[in-house]
Amino acid sequence: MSFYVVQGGSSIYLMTTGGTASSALTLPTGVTIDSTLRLRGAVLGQLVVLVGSPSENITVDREGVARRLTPRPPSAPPTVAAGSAGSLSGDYYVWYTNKFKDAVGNTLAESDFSPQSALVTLTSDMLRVSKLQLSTDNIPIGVSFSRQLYRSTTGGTTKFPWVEVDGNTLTSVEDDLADAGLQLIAAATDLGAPPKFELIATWKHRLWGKSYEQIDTLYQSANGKPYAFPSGRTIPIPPTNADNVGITGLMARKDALGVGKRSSIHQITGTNETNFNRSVVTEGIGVWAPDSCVVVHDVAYFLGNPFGLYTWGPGGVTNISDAKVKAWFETDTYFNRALFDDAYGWYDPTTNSYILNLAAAGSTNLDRWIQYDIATGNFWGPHKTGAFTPQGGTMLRDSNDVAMPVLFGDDGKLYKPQTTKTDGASTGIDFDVTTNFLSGNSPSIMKFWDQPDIITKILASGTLTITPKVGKLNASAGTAISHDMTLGRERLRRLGDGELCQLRFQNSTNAINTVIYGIELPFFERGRR
Amino acid sequence: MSGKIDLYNLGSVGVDLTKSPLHKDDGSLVSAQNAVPDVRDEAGAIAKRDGLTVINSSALSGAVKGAVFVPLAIGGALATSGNTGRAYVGLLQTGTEGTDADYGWAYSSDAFATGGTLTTTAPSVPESAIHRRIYPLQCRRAAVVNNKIYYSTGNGNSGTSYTRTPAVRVFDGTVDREFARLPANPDDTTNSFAYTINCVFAVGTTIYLSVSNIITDDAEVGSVWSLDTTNGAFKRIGATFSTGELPGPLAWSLGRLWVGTVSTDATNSGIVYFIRPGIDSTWTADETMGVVGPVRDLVDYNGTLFSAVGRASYAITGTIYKRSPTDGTWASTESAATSDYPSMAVFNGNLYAVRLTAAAALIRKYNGTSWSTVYTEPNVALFYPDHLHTFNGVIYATGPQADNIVVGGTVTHTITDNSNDVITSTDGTTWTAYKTISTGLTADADNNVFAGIYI
Repeated sequence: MSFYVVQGGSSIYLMTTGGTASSALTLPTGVTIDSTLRLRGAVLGQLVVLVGSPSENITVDREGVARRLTPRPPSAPPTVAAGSAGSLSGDYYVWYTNKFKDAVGNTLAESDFSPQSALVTLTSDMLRVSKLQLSTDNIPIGVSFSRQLYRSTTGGTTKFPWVEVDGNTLTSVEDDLADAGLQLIAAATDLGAPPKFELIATWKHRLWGKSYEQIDTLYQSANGKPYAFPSGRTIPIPPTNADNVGITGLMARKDALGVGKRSSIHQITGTNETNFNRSVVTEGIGVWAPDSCVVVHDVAYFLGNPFGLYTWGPGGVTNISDAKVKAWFETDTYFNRALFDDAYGWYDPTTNSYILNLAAAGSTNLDRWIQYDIATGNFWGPHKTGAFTPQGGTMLRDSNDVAMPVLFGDDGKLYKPQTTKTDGASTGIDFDVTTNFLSGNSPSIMKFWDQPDIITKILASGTLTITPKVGKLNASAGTAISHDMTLGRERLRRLGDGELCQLRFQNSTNAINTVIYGIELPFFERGRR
Repeated sequence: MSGKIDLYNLGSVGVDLTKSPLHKDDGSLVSAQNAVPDVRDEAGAIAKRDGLTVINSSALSGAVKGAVFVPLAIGGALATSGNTGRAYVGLLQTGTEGTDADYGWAYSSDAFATGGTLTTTAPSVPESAIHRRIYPLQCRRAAVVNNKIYYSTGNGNSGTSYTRTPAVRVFDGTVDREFARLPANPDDTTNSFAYTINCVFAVGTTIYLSVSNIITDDAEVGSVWSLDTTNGAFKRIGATFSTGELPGPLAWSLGRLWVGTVSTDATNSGIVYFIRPGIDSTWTADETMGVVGPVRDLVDYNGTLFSAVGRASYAITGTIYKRSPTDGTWASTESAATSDYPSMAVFNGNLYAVRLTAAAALIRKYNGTSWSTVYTEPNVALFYPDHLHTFNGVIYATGPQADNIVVGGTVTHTITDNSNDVITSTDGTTWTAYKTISTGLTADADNNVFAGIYI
C-alpha cells in the first residue's frame, strides 16, 4: 500500500493513506529541515529523493529510514601493502567507495571513488588494504552500509569490483582474488555527488535538478541512479548570471523536459547523455513560480511572466488567462502579486482542473486558490476556506490508489475533498457568486426589473441569500432576499427600477449545499431617461 | 417593451474579468468564490464546492509544507492492516512427524503478544524424522526473498523408504506451494533420496542450502547448493564434502559464501570453509575450530565473521570465534564451560548469541568490544531459548515447543507443550515474558522455521 512523505514544520513524517503518521523521522547527523522552505521530492526506482527544505539532499525508505542521497566519498586513498601469503603477483592500484544497501544487498546509493592508492607490487601475496576511512555519515539502524573496494588488474588502471567490506567498523582487509575472478564488468564511471538541490524532477529515468549555488545549471543523474551525478553531466540554461534566481521551473513532459527562466523557456530533448540537447521554446515568456509547474496529459501549466497562466504543449506556449481573468494577474485588486513566486500549482482529477494557490491581496499566506477547468477553459474562484490557512496542495492517491487532490493546512493537517459541504470539523463553506450586470441588451434604457424566478436543487433545508443591485454600474446593494432552498422554485419579490441589474448569491451555512440551476428575470423597458 | 433574461448557464461560463461590464456574456460571473460547475448529474448548474476533511486527525508539528506520494509498500511500524508485517513460524501442530497435514503456520503481527494465529495452510515443514538420523543441525530453515518465505521440507518418517528428495517450498502468507525439488547429488551413487536440508540462507535473490545425505548411517556426506528464486534452478556449489563432514550454517562475508561443518566423528572439530560462487570451483578450508564440536551458527557482524561452536549435550566448552578480515586469523571472543551456543543474530547494531548450559539459558550481547548478558532465563524447566530471529524491529528468542534434554543421565529440561514458546525485545535489553506461538503439539518441534514478511 502506498504512502506519503510529509513535511510538518521542521520535521518530516511518513504517513499512511489513512492518515496515520510516524513520529518525526530521524534525520542524518547534521541535516535539518527549514520550516520556511518547501519539501520537494521525486521518486526514481525504489528511492524517494527529497530536496528543498532539507539542508541536504536526502532519501527516505519505506520504513522511514532517512539518509543522505549520496554517501560522502572517502577523502583519502587506501593504504596498500603485501599481506599474508597468497596467490597474487603483480602491480595493483586500489580504490573504494561507500555504499548504502537494502536488506537483501541491493545498492541504494554509492559515493564517488576515493583517491587512487599508491601502486603495490605483490609476489605470491594477499593484497592487504588498510586505513579505510570510517564514514562520518550516521548509519541508521536497519540500513546496510559497506565499503566497496575496487582494484586494477595487474599493470592496469581500470577499476574492477574486488571485495566488499560490510559495516562501518573495519579499517583493513586482505584478499587474493585472482584477476580472472574479478567481475567482467569494470566499475561504473558515472558516480558522483550532487550539489544541494532546490528543484528536482524525474525524466527519462533520471533525476534532473537545479542547485542553490549554480542557479543557471541543470544537473542530470546517471541512468536509473538517483544518487549518482557524474561531473560534467550538466547543461547551462541561458542567460547565465543574468539574475539571482536562475532556473525557475522544471516541467517533465513525455519527450521534452521544460526548463523555465524568468523570461524564457527552454527544453531538453533526447534519450540519453550522448544526445540530450537544449533548445529554446520561447523568449519573452518565462516561468515565474517554480511550484506552479504541473504537467497534465503532456501539457504543462504554470504561472508565468508576464503574469498570467500559461500552457506549454505540442502547439507551443499559450496564455490561457488573459481572455477571461487578466485582472487577477495584472492588477493588485485580487491577489498579492509580490508572492506570485510562491504560488503552488496542482491538478485536481475529480474536476479535471488546474488549481493554483495564491495569496489574497494584502495577505502573506496562500489563502486563496483559483480553478481552471481544462475541458471548458473556464475559471472559477477565488476559493477560500475558514477552517485553516492553505499552504499549498498537490495530488496524492488514496488507499485504493485513486487520485485525490489534497490541500496543505497551516494546522499540520492534510485535507481532501468530501461531498459534505463542510470544511474541517464544522466550518461552513462561504459560497459567494456575483453575476455580471445584466442589461437585456439595452444598457442605456431604464427598466423595471420584475419578480425573478429562481430554480435551485430541492434540499432538505437551507436558505440562499440573493442581493440585487439595480441601477447604473455604481448601483448600491439592495435589500437582501431569502430563497428557501427546500422549494426548488420560488418567485421572488420585484427588484425595482434601473438600467442594469446584478445579482449576488450567498450561503455560508455549515453542511448546507447550494445548487443553482438558473434564474429567469423578467423586465419592462420604461424608455430612455 | 418587455423582455426576460433566462440565466441557465451559470455553470457554463465562469469568471470573466477581462471584458467590460457591458460586454460580458450573460451567465458570466465577476466572482465565483467557492462555486464550481456541479459535475454530479447537474452539469450547467453552479454549486457549492466540496468540503474538505482531514486525512490525518493528529496534527503534525507545524504547517504542512509539502507532501510526496510514494507508490511503494509502507513498512515498519506504520504497516497497515493491508500491509502488515507478520512473523511466521512453521511447525508441527498436531499428529505425527512426517504427516504433511499435521504441519502448519502460526503467525503474528504483534510479536506474539496476543499469541499466534494458526493457518489452515498445510505445508510440509522440515521437522521430520530423517533429520534425526543425522547429527542434528539446528540451523535456520527459512529465508525471505522478495517478501516470500522459502523454506526446506522434510523427507519422510523414520523408517520410511524415500522416493523423492526434499523440496524447497515458498509461502507468501496465503499460498504455500512447492517451489523446487532438490536434485540428486551425482556423488551419491546409492540414489537413496535420503537427503535433509540443514540450512537455508538468502543472498539477494539466491538461496543457498546446506544439504546432508545418507549413504550409510553415520557416514553421511554433504554439499551446498544454490537456488535461483527467479527461475528455480539449482547449482551445486563446489564439491561434495568429505564423508562424515556435514555442512551446516551459512553466512556471507567479504564477498564470499561461508559454511560451518559438523563432523559425524565426535572427536573431530567443525571447519569453516569459504567459496566465491561463480568464481571458485572448490571450497577452501579457512579454519578448523579450536574446540572439538560442530559449528552451530555463522554470522557476519560489521564485516567480521563469527562462528559459534557448541554441543547440545553441553559436553564441550562452547566458544564463539571471530575472524580477522585483516589477516584471516581466528580468535576466541566468548566461551563457557559445558555449554552450547546454538544461535546468533545481529540486531540494532549489536551481535546477540544464545548460551545454554545444563542449568542456565542466557542471551548474550556483543557491542563490538565486549560481551554482556541481557537475559537470564529464570526457570529452564519452563522455557529456554535456542534460536534467535529478527524481524520488523523486534528480536525473537524462540524455544522448543516440547523437548526433553538429558545430560549425564539427568533430565534437565522437560519442556512440555506449555505455551512458553518465545520472548521478544525491541531494544535487545528488555525482554518480554513468555509468549505463545502455538499449543496442542504432540512432539518436539523446533522453532527454526521462522521468517517475517509484509502482506
